[in-house]
Order: sequence, then C-alpha cells, then structure tokens
Amino acid sequence: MQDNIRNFSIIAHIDHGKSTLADRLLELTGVVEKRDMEEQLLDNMELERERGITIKARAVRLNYKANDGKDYVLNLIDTPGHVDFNYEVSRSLAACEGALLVVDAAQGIEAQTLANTYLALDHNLEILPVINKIDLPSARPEHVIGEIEDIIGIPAEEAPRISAKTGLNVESVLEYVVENIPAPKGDETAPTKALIFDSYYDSYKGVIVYIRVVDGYIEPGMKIRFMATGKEFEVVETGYLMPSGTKSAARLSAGEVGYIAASIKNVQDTRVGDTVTNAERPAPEALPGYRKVNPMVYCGIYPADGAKYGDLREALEKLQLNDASLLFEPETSVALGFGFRCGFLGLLHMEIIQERLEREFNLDLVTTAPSVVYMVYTTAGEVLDISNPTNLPPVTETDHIEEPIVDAHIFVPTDYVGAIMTLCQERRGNYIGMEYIDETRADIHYELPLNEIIYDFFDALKSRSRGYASFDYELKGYVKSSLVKLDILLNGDMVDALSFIVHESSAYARGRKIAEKLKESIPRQLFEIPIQAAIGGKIIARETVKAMRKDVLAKCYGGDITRKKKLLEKQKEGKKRMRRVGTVEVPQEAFMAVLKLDDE
Amino acid sequence: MSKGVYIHIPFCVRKCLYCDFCSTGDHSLMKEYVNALINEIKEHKGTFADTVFIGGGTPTVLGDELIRVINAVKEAFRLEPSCEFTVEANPGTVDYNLLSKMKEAGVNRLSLGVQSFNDNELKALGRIHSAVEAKEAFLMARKAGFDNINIDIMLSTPHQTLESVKSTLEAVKEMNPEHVSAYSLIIEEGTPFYDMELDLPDEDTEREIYYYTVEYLKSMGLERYEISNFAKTGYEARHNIKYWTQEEYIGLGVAAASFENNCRYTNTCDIASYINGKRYDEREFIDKDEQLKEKFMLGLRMSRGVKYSGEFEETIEKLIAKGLLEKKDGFVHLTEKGFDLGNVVFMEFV
Repeated sequence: MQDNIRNFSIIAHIDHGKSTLADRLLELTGVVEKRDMEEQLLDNMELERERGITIKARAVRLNYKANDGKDYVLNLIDTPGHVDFNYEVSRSLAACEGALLVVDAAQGIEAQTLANTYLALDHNLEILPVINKIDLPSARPEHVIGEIEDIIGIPAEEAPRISAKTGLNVESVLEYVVENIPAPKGDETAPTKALIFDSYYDSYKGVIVYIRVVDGYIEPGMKIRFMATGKEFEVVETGYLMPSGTKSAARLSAGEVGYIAASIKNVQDTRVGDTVTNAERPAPEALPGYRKVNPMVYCGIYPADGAKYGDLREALEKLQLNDASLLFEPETSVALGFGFRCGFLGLLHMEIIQERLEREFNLDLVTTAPSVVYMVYTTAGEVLDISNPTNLPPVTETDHIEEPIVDAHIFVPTDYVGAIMTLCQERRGNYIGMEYIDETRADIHYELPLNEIIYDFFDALKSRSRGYASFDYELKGYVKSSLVKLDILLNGDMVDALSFIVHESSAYARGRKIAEKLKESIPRQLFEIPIQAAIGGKIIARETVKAMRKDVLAKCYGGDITRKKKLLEKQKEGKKRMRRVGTVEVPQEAFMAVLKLDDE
Repeated sequence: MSKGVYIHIPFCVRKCLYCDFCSTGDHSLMKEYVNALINEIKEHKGTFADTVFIGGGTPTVLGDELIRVINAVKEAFRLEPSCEFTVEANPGTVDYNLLSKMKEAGVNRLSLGVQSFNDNELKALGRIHSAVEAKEAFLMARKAGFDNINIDIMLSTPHQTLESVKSTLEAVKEMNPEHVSAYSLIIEEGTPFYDMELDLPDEDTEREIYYYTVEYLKSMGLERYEISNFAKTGYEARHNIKYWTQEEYIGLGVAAASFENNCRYTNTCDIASYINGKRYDEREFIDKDEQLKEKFMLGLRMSRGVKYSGEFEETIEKLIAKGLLEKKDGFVHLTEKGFDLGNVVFMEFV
C-alpha cells in the first residue's frame, strides 16, 4: 500500500515557478479540469496571488497512473519560498520523503535556492532538481545544471528540463517523482504516530488538523492524544486534502497525508509540530517535531479604534492557529492605548500578518517601528531580553547591550558588487568574503546587525541592484554594541510608540531623518508643533510643523450646502482616524514613517 | 413670509478653468432652456418673494432673452416693493443698452464678475475679459442707473502676489462699489485647474493677502459681514443672507437648490432633461436636529454669528477655548482665527 505513495514538496527561490509547476501537476493528474484552472491554485490566499508568493504551506493529494501501469498517490505539499518562512518550509519537509528543487534556467541558483536545499538536506530528503523556464530566450539549462552540481553538489544531469508556464515536458516530472522519491516506510501495525504540519479553524467542525501519518493509523471513533499538550479527543472525521477541498476517508494509514477533525474548539490545543497518537495505545515517544523558531523581529500592533482591541486579539489567535511562528502578548502604550507586542520571523512575515489582519479581519491598525531582541546586561548583573524600546532600562542601570548579528549571503551580478558592498558597509556590515559563482555572479558574505536589515534593507538591496540581488540570512549570535535609545517628542511630549534603539554612530542621522519624515506626515494643526529627536535628555534634531493658517470654505450658498456638508464630513472622518498623542493629532502613517529611511 | 428666488442660467461664453458650476459654452439649447425655465417660473404664480437672484453661468449671455426671464419673474411672483433683484454679469458680455434694459425691467442690484484687475491673472483664470473692459462695464452700469453694485474678486489665484492684489484693490476703490465678494480660489475636482500645475501663493502669502484685503476694504467702508462678503452698511446681499439664516428659497432652472418645508431640493444638472420637464433629482429632508446643526454651520459664516441660547454647549465652549469662537451680546461668532479656520468650527456641526 505504502509502495504506491509518494510524499513530496517543491522548493524554489521566489519567482522560479514553483506555484506554476504545482498548477500544471494538478492539471495533468486530472484533479482539476483545465477550464476550472485558476492561476496558482495552491496560492489561494488573495494576498498570495497578488504578491505572487506562497505564504502558507498547503497540501494536496493527486492520483497518477504511471508508465509502469500502476496507480500512485502523490501528496504534494507546497512550501513558501521566502527566507522568512523557512519555518513553514521545514514543517512541510518533515512530512515528505523527497523534494523537487525547481531552478530557473535563466536565473540559476539564488540565495534561497541554497537555503531551502540545505533545509531539505537536514530532513534527509531525496532532492530532485528540475530546470524550469527553458522556453525563455535567455535560458541556459546546461549552465544551470553545472551550477547545481558544483554549488549544491547533487547530480543534475537527469533533471527534467521543463516549462511549467507552457506545460512543456511537465509530464516527465511525475514519472521522475514516482521513480526517484522513496515510498514511505512506516509500520502500520505500530502505535500511531502522526505529525501535525498545519491546521485551521472551521466554524462547523472546529480545528481541522493536517497530518502525515508516520506509523499506525487514525480513523473516526479513535481516541487520540496530542503528545505535547496532552489533550485527548475523539476523532469525528478523517479524510484527504483534495484540490477542491476535503474529502472524507474511512482511515488514514501509515505514509498517508490527510486531515482529522475531532470537535476541537480550542486553537491552543493543537500545536503544529506536535505528534498525534492513539490515546489507548500510545507511542512511547513523540516524533522529533520541529525546531522551535524564535521570532527575530517584534513590533507593536494596535487597533486604530481602541474599541476593537478584542477583535484584534481574536484575529491574532486565529492567525496563530496556522502560523505558530507568530507570537503576541498584550502591551500598552501611552500614545496608542491597548495593543499587542508581536513577534515575527522577519520583515516580510510582519508585513504579511499586518495585511492579513487588515484584509481578512477588516481591522484598521497602527503599527510601531520593528525592533529586534536586545540583550541588556544591567549593573545589577541581570540579563534582560528587550524587544520594546520603551522597556530599555536607564543608561545608569545598564552595563552593556548586545545585539543580534546575522550571517548574510547576497547573490548578485558582478556589476552590482560595489553598490551592494557599499550598502552593507553603511549598515555596519562586517565583510567576511566573496565567491564567484560564475564569471557573471558573486556570492557576497557579510555579517550584519539584524537591526540594520529590519527596516528597509531588502528594498535598498533591490533598488541598488536593479532587482537582481537575492538575499538570505540566518541568526549567528549576539555581540556587544554601542546602542542608544532614540526618543521622539511631539510638542514636548515623548511618544513612546516612536522610540527605537539604534547604533550610536547612526543615531544623529536617523534622528534627523525621522524628524523630517514626521514633519511631512503630520498635518498642520491649530498650533505650532515642535518635533524633536532626543537621546537621553539631549535634543539631537528638531523640525517644526507650522500652525495651520487656513482651513475654510470660501463659498457656501444655497446650491452648495449639501455638497459642502459632505466635504466637511469627509474632513471630519479623516480627523477621526488620527491618533491623539498629548495635544497632537498624529495620522497612522506617521508611526510607519520611521521605516522607510534609505538615503538613495 | 416672503421667499427668496434663485434662477440659474447655465450658459457662458466659455467655461473658466476653475469653474465647477453647472454651465456650458454650448448655446444650442439656450432658447428651449429659457422657455422651460419660464414654465417653471410660472408654476410659482402668486408666491410672495422679497429677493431675486439670477445667477449662473452668465445670465447676461442671454441678451434680450434675459429681459423675458426677468419679466416672467415679475409676472409670476408677488414681489415686495422693496425686493432686492440681483443679476450676475460678466464684464465681457454687457453693453450699455442691455444694462439699461435690465434696470428698466426692475433689476436693482448688479453683481459683476471682475475677479481681478490684473490682465495676467485674468488670463491665467481663463476669463474672457480684460481689466479695462471690467472698468468700462462698471462705469456703464453706473450710467445705466445701478446704485447697488457688487464686484467679485478672487484671491490666491495663479501668479497672484500681495503686490498685484494691492493694485486690484486700488482699482476696486476707484470704482467704489457698494459690495465686494472676495473669494479665495478653491481648486475643485473635475475642473482643469485640478489637473494643472499651478503657480499658487503659499499658505502664508494666501493669509497675508486675505488679511490685507479685509483691512483694505474696511478702510473703504466695506465691512466683512460674511467670510467672503463685504458691504457698505445697508447693502448686505439680502438674498445670500437667506442661505445662512435658513430662510426659505426657491431655486429655478438646472442645478438650482430650494429650501422649503424643511426639505432641500436640487434640480437636475442636465439641461436636456430639464427641458424635457425633469425637476429635482435630489431631495433631502432636514429634520429638527439637522436644522439646529445647520443653523451653526451656516450662521457662523456671518460676522454677527448666531443668536445663542446654550445649544451644543460643550462644543461651543471647546471652540471658544481654542480661540475660534467668541460670545458677545447673546450671539456667538467667529474670532479672527475662526475666520481663518472656519472648517474646524463647521466640522463640529455636520
């Protein structure tokens, strides 16, 4: 039975055609009629389609009759491409025996290709390269195959050369999967062990848990236990994950991928990475699960309308259900009221969560500048993890501060090496080395402080390399650093939500820049508003928003009244959306003004 | 009680670049429009009225047809003997002959759309007349017997400077009108100005220009009685005051608004539909609460303010604390700062 199952993922650098290939495979196996085919079927989140990226891992079961005449079940587990979502990738990979490594025949290997490959190797997966986009005039499949063999060190001569876009040669990928990816080797008679790799909340069935059964089986009526949380439930339904939705099945056996529903009401009871076992015949030990990921970037998220605090909490809980890497805890800000300090894997992850909160839950948010986690050594000998600048102890009580450093690899055409190295130097980078991938491209290796890359590094990288640079990083450790807290005062009042921690050397420049940005985003008000940037008690920059001189409708006669009333209403609405900080009304965008500060 | 009558003439020689009123340079439907308008006027036979205002557009582009409209108004409505009867005129569209006929027909107030006495500014606004023509029109009006004339001027228009406003105001002084409307330019969506890059005075210069204008007109004996309106004592535009004091008025013609029986009606903007008999396409019931709010939103536009007996106390006190309003002799009215920032006040009453 297991002999006919193949569980695999597709890994790729962003834009190399992973989702398009997935679409073609679905089409070829006939689970989706071509006419019903929506582009990028697995990316069914609106945001994923718009941005052309995969955020969430997703699984789908395909039936395929191979050339050997046998019927196979192929479980394809889609993975995100971006570095921020390595965690999701890791979850997907743990449920598979193999992975297709898709590489763009024109672009070649990119930073994330490598990162994802190493992840897959960590999980002992069989890695099968696929050369995509061979229809492009600039395609160089032989060259790329050479790159794969040289840089990654896996044979690639057999790799299918395909165009997922045109469908060229895609059927060979299915045969390739059947022939080369190992069948699962679970023990159906052993105590049940199944890995949770995703979950979501259904308002009728409760939490739906996505699992890969490793040993034993799961069927309706069985009493199951989640080994990490210890919670027990009776299985109500089991089934497969079809492209069109779920399809119930009598049992899920070793090697299979599917879902279970067990009237689970509480999101917290099911943890992605946990092991499901039979409560009456439990497995002696759990599956390894996943490495717990620690958020790298934190920011405060507040409802624009304070009354929506409860809604925000509920939304975060729902998102956390299938995004275990999202952390949040309540915090309060003098300027913004009640909200949450949220932890993310990276900047993109942060942006995605913000957008999902706004779109899927219809919330209006104010977010504060992102921060990394600093380790503060106090004079009293304590070590504090500080992710909110407001909580930084006074200088007099601080012995020293350490900040996180990442190991970063930037793949870039040689023409841009100078520009990118300049950028890295500006961001306090420590040059480690550079290797040429071929005569036209280089891999630049730097150590960079994480706090220098969480603002706009990615944008700067793209703009200074005309979009050609790719970037990947991982946390390396903490080093001692001269950091200061920069405060912003509006009309003399400190705005806690605008404070942030910055390296001494760039504090002045940053302070000036933020004051300028704030001047642009704060509208004129009835009185003059001084904007000041300060370190400790010392003012290092000052700008002024001049008092509003004029705001009056010159004309209002009989025919105008209705229209003029509407104008005033609109103006009033705009005013309502602003945050009152002390005496000053601050638009939501101002809190984000500190984010985009690249000098270019 | 006698009502105000507003009549809209939606035709111009050509549309100015900043204009978002209902008007057109296409005169093909003019004759039919006048007939339809006269029919609508006749519907109000017997109604008492004490102010009439024929505006536009440019009523004077109608030529002798305008006299027909004026006569129709006189026949249909029962005009008080003291009725204020205003017609708007573009200096580029009048001659002594037409002005005399208007005066003879009963028009006793003329509103001249001068906008500026600087030819550069006039050109930038897309006006059809020159500064000299504007002066000529004024003098002809005087000669035709008009002893109550308004001059419209515009502030903060492209290329305007404090110096150029001074020279325009000097020319106004020379004319010595009974009434001046001085409007700050509003860039309205849907007008050519909205999409153009304009050389406009900055906010500070704009205010300097306004303050200078207020002081200058005051020195001529023209007191500001509303945000943009200035008059010699006794020459305040009674018709316009009705709008700000919630008195009833009847609007006739396309795009004209009426306020009667607690309802505001606005006629269709489409000339062809109007000719085919279509009337109002918007009707808004103004309930007691809304009327009370409008009393402040509109009434506070005037210098004398609103007679005050404790309504919206908290709001009013807040605005007084901000230095935007002032209480005096049982009235509450805008302060100087309030005149600059009127919307901050009006916003509280929508």
